[in-house]
Amino acid sequence: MQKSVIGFRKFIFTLFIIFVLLTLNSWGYLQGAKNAVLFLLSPVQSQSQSSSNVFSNFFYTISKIDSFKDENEKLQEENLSLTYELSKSDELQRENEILRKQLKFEENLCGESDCIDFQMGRIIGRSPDGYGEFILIDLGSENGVINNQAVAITGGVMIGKVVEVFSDYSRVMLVVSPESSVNCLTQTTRANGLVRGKYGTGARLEMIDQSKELVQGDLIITSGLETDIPKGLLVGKIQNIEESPNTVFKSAGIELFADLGYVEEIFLVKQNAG
Amino acid sequence: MQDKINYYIFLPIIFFLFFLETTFVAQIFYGNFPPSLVLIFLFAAALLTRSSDFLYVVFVFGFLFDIFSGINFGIFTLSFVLACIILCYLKAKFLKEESFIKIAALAISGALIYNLIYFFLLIVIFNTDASFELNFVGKKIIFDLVYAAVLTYPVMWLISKKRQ
Repeated sequence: MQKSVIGFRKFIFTLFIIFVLLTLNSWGYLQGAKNAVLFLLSPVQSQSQSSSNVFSNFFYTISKIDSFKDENEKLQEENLSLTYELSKSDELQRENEILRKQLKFEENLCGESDCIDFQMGRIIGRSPDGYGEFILIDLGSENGVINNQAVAITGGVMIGKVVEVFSDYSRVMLVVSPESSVNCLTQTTRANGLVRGKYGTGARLEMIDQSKELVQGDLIITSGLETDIPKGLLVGKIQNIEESPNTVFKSAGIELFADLGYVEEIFLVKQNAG
Repeated sequence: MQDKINYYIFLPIIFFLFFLETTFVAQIFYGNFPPSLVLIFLFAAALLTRSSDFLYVVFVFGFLFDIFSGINFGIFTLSFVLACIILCYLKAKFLKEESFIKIAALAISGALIYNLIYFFLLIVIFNTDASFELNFVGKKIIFDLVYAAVLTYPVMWLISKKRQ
């Protein structure tokens, strides 16, 4: 049998190449090379991702078939409740306009939704490490993408933010990544905290002041304190509250709205100056 | 045992596995522990062939993994290459004659070696500030070993059939 010991020279040469690549990457000189590799692989990658979407949708439907009836009933109830809420909101908006006119308020403050632009993109690849922390999208600096820009899906649900921009592609760090942190607040009690990912594709709301109240089921939205992430994007809702008098901060487990495994199209969120 | 493998056959297979791993497998196994198809194939091939040649293939795919993953750049290239070198050293040291079962056992232990190197680099060298849950790391290693145990034999059979 052939003994296959790797020669010392080959070993040193390979390590040297890796060291050179690491150095070039830390200086930012590898962006062009990375973009070129992604450009070469993207046709097959996109095709593979599209086929994967078809298969995973099929499996998703099969796996969820049991819960469809219950979910349908729940959605009908929710729909009725939302219709009622909407009518109430219309009334409040009208009332608000009247009051603004009475107080002679200038219309220079745009509503949250008016100040946001969405740019559609597609996922072309996912991180192969198995932790589901990153995705690659087909929009890059040529499309005006910048670092730290929020990425959402239909319904204004934030799923992550851009962490690396190539000329034609961008890398998005999902909210489930342990390295990700997004400044958020709870909608009802206005408790401010950081949404951080944890291994195993979950997320938690951390660093909440002990004096703030947390309510199970309360919506978690972006706070708007980060420059490129507009206020009001949905993230999830509080699943369980973890508080102890011995800790400095409160925290809570989050049920994310986005099913990140089945996301196909994404929207880059751009905040206008208003 | 012949040394060389047919790269015209194996490179498309590895690329196919790579595309599968970065799309379908990552999507289907989302939130769980997906099998590292490319890694299992590369280690099995490295053990069944002259790995000094195959080291460059391992290097290239480690580099591709680094580009597709957002974790500290270089971690996959380093882990792949170092694990491959250790595996080949172990092979030269302990496998005096060709034994399919022994090679399979070595390929499976490759999954363990790779994981140990990977987490060592991530925590010690790259100094990742993410707090690791030991429970998660343990589960990941166990899953990788199980996948390697299940998939290594068919991969080795395929490689043996396609060798020049």
